[in-house]
Amino acid sequence: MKGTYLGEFEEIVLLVIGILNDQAYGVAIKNELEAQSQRTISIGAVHAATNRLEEKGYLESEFGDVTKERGGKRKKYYKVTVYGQKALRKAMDLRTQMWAQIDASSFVVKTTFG
Amino acid sequence: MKSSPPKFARFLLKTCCDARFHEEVEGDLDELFAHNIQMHGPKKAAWYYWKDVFKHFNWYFISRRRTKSSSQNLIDMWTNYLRIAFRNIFKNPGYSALNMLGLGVGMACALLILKYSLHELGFDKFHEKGDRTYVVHMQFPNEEEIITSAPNALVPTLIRELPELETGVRIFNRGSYSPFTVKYKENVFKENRLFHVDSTFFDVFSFKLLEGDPKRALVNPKSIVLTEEMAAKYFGSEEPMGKTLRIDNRHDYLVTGVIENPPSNSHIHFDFLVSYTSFTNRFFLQERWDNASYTSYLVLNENASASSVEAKIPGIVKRTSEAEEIPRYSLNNLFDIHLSGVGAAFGLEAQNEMQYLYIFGFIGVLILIIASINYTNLATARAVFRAKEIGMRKVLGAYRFNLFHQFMGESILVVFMAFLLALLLAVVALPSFNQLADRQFVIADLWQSNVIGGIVLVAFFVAMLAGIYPALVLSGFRPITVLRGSFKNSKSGVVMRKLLVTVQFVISIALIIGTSVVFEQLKFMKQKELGYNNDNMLILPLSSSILRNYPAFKSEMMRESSVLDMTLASESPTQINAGYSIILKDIDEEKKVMVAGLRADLDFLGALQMELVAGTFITEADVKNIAREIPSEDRVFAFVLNEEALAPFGISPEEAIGKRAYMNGRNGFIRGVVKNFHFASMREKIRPMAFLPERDFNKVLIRISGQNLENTLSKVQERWRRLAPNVPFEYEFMDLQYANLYSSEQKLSKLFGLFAGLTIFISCFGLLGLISFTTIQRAREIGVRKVLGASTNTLVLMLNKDFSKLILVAFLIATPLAYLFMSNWLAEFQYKIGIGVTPIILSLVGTTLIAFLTTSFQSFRAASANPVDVLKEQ
Repeated sequence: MKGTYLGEFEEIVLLVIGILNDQAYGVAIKNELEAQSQRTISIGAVHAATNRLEEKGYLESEFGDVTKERGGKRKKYYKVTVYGQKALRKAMDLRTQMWAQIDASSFVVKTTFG
Repeated sequence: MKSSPPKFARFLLKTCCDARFHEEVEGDLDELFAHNIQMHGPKKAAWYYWKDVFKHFNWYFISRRRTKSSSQNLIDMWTNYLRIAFRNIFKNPGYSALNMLGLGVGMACALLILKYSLHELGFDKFHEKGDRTYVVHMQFPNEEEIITSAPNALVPTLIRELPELETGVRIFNRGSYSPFTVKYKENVFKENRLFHVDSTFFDVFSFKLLEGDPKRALVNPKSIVLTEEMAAKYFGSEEPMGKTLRIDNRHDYLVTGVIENPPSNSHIHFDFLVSYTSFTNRFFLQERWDNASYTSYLVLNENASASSVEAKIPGIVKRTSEAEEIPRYSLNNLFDIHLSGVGAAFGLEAQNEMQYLYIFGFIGVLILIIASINYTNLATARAVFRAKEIGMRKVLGAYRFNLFHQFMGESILVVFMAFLLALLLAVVALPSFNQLADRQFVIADLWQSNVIGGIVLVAFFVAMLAGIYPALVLSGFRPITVLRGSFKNSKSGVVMRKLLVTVQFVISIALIIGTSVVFEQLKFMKQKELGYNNDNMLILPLSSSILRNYPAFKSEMMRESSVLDMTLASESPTQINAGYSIILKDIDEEKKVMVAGLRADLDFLGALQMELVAGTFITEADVKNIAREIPSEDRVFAFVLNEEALAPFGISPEEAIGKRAYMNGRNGFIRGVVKNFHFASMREKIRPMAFLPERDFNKVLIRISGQNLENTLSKVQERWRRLAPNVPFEYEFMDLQYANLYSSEQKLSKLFGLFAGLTIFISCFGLLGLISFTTIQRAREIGVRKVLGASTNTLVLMLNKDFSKLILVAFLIATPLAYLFMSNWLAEFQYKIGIGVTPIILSLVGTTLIAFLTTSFQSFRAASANPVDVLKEQ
């Protein structure tokens, strides 16, 4: 099924939401993503990913309270579902399993400085 | 400091983004915006905001909205929309008919205009090498006139010298000033369109040979190729190939090919092509530079450039011609000949102008706008009747988006039905359109894919244009207001409708003013004193047999009582265009003035009733002075000039008499001066012209009595037949020939008239629709007024007042617009009318009257209704 596949961006979005714990809403996700990955990410991409992930069942969301910030618009907080956690773990397992099969001698990571 | 995000971006987000995502997205964007203002300042923050809004415009956020509200019942909904639409159409058959008729007439016009434009734009496009075929024009230094033909040496010389040239062809057309007599057995006709052409004719042009070999058909002397039409005219059902045609009663020509009739959108129209080698005279066969009667076409190689060829011509001409004065030769692309009006030459079709295409297209768009406005107006005016339906649909869960679709769909449906009507109307109107546009389209021409494709596009565009405003308005109704039951058309809607009606009438009034100005100018040009009398003047070709015993011929002809006058000339006055130049040595040694020249018989002035200002006309003695027996250097020529020819020299007519004059190798003096007369169109200023004494004539001019014209003509013909059996009695009327100079103005006036009529007609449909809804809406008010004692008349006036105001406003806007536009058009004429108050008053009275009649019927009906009927319901 298409739904079980986790894209790279989706994976790190899920992880960031995990990191943020109960403070994961759009702008916070974007900021954390940028801080972690050292690249610029548009809010549109975040929204597209969170909505898609929610549709797939990896995320659930609820609106926060109305506050004076944001012109009275509520924040939408995301949480990784159990299903989402499973998918994340599966992705990680797949990677470790595959890394383990790589012959260390044939795969020298060059770490040259200067 | 501005601290809120760009409003429009916000609006876009709100309209496009699905409601479920909207709050989250907007909240996050606002937060980012606030943050960015701190970090980067308001400008950058706004920029980022815009960027982010656009980044949300992906398939995901926009497509979401559909899946939820309607997926399975999509087809059911559309079926329902369609049913409701049909019900609405048939519930108000009158209104629907008005609507469709307006749209149908508009689109039929658009269809015909489209066909015409495509036809015009497609001129000469069937020539495969057309994009690299050029016609050569020449222009002498310091002279204005562009000559659209070239010396016969040009094409062969250039082809020998320039490797860039693939091929070329010369066309010589003698027919325009002295027609050929073509004979096969008992079929004898005078033919104008017989061209001498090089054997390369078919290499250059893609005319289709039905019989014969394109490579060989025009190689041998005395070969002739004729069109299908001519083949039928001369040979009937006989096979023409291999037969001979006798030309000018002297030479036999062998038919070597039959060619398909040239398409109507070809700039060259010919009946016969004769091989160039058929010339016997050395004057034609030798390559000479001292002539300019050959329309010359060059075909360049694929990668050669016209400008580089153009640049090389002067050098080559200088080397080969040894002439002192070299004209400038220019290459003009074949495709430009028709529309840009560069002109080919010598009887190769008069050119159309791009201007007319623009006018045509512009008017087409105007008519469509008017028809669309009708739809928009009627649809919004009727919104009241649809309000409950809209409210109900919304209560039952329809989104604005769905309703928008529904109403757009309705407009597409109506436009589609009108489209079918338009096809029908176009077919019916085709013959009259042909007459108007001077084209020969057949019904099948309308079914060409580019025409139909174009008109479908137009129809779609009209559906969008007409439907979008009503769809926006109707779908925006708030259910709570409309269902409460006190819904009235909104103020803004009324204003919008009034605005649109005003626009319609601005267009109509402007067109009416335009029409009357064109008519007036045309009338002015037709009625203005020409300076000679061209009534009932016949122009006939002259043959050498008549000329030989002309005095006897003339006296015999004059014996017929209906022949009033008779004279000879080289050309009819409308066709004086041969270019001479004149030098008056007594006044100025150097000054050279271009004049047009006409050779005329001694009694010419009297016969045409022209006025002499000074001196006399050419006399018998003058003719003797240039007789053949006198050595050419001793001949003395007597010239008669018009006033305009004297103007550049600054002398009065009396002073001019007897002054020495030199004209293209003729030494002589000024014998007389005639009053200026109009020999060309009034677009141009009267040009300098001169009468020459040589007796070299091509035309007989006969004035007949205007009484019982048909009878007179047959009597004259009978006498002519008896006296000159070999010369066909093929006459032209001089006044008609002159009127033909204005054929494009005539066409324009007809077009303007027709379109002005149509716009008024369609606008009135709209008006009729509007007034009928207004009266329904105000029925109760009218009833109350009536009960309180208002008379029918005052009520009709009250209802009509609204529309009268609109027409007045439209008039105030249209008049200056039309004035500006028409002054521009009139500026092209040297002799013209001023735009007086007549067209303006005419348009005001006309429109008001028509509009008043249209509305009065409805308002009268409403005003005379029994108030009981409308008031009892509450």
